[in-house]
Amino acid sequence: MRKSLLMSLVVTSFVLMLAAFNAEAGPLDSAGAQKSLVCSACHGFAGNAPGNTVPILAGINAAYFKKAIKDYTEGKRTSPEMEPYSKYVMQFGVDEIASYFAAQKKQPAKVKIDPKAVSRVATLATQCTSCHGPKGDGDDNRITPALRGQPVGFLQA
Amino acid sequence: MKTLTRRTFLKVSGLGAALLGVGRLPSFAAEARRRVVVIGGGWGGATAAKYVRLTDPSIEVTLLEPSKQFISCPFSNLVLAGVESLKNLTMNYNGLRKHGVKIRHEAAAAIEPDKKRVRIGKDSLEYDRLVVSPGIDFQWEQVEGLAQAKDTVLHAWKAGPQTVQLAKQLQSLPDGGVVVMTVPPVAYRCPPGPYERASMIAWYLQAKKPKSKLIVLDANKDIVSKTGLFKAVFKDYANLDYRPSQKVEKIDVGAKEVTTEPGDKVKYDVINLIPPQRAGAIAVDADLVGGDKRWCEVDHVTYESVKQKNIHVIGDATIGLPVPKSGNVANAMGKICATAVVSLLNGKEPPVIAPGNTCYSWVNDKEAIAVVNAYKIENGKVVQIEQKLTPGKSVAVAQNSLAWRASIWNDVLG
Repeated sequence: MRKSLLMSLVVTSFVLMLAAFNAEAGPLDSAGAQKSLVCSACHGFAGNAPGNTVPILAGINAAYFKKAIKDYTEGKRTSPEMEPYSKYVMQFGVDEIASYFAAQKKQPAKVKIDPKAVSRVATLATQCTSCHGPKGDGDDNRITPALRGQPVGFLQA
Repeated sequence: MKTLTRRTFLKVSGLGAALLGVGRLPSFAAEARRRVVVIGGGWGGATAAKYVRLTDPSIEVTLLEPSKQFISCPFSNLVLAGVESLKNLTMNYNGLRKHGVKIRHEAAAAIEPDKKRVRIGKDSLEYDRLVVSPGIDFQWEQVEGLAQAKDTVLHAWKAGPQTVQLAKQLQSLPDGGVVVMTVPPVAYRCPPGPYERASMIAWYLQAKKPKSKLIVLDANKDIVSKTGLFKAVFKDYANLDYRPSQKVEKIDVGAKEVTTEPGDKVKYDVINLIPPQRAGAIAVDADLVGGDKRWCEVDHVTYESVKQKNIHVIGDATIGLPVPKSGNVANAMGKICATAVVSLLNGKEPPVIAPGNTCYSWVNDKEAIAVVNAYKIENGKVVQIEQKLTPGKSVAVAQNSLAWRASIWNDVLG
């Protein structure tokens, strides 16, 4: 009797171990991660684009992402790259893709910044900070995107 | 109460394993150790190997790639014009090792689908799922005289030593000399590639050898890709003589002359003959190619071969999808195929994902043009949603291409 109890305990723990082994969530397990697989060609893994002219999508405000995608599909915002891909995103599920990128940790662009240039434009940038926040962190309530840490080439374009 | 000794534990847990239907413990270990083998470490294969590990690190992945270096074909046309160095296009496979991909710098000798194993010399490697990403091989026999001259008549269509050699031949060309390049009949690797190359060579000649000219002999009836954009670009180059429907049939190295299908004979000082192409030899040998004996037909969602079970084919070797044979598409196929392979190995339904294509072509030392294609899956088949071209050449598009390469190289290898 004791033996059988012991045995069932061991069997149970073994089953649980197997279940844990199989259920371990990987970085690509969510539907949003899978539906955005093609995006990483330009926007980097998990939306952390390493290029100078491509925006970082990691940590993006989901509502802003959806607005941008909608604007591209309607031609309100133009880009030879994003007009077709915006339709791809709409096709495969903009909500899941937006949620996926919003949940990723942003790694700021590794572009070197000239501190003198920063001080020169600090006063000019007040026009930007009224909407994008004093440090460019954006405003989720107003669906204003964060500009902080985005690559310089993208901000110039 | 009886204490649990090591001996009792082994006895009972062994019984537990038996009750689970996994038999003895060693067989459980074998089942957990699922193996994926990837043949070819190009844009498709390297991506697939990395993404299988990213998606499920419990799967053992072995990549077979003879070369220790990855050299990017995209941007290699710029090397011919001296505006880029091959060094900047050359990377290693260390990034994949960090993901736990086992790399053997050896060529796969043969695939044995019945035994689910790949032969490598005298050794062999068993797989549960095989991903074949063999790229292209050349059909030398399609051009008379080419097989004997293939070491000196350069294709430079696989970036590497031939890219550097062709650049040197162009540099040594006397001013006033004639360069001839030939475009193979579709389907071939990188549809806009020959026209990007023509633009870059014409730009180079215009800048460095103003009395020289470039004759482009195209086997196709018209420019195959970005047609309108390239036609506009070609107008910038008075030294570029583009001749459609001129399939090269014969080369005479002694006379420095090629003969085309209509019977025209064209003399050259430097020749760049891009031969007709088919899937890499291993795919042909393993009977993965279709009736045309050239390309591999696959399922549009899983990339599993329609001819061999448990074998997936990706990249330039595939046919039937309305997508170009591009690095970007190979990268997309690598990721989608990887998720499909992991799903199938875990007994799950593979996600339904379509590829995308972003393709830049440089047309001089500063400017580029682009085409972008988005796709969807309809009734199990890849269907194009939209294609968009840049309005014309621009510096901004060229800058975007540099951002693209930084990102996609990292996606393939980082």
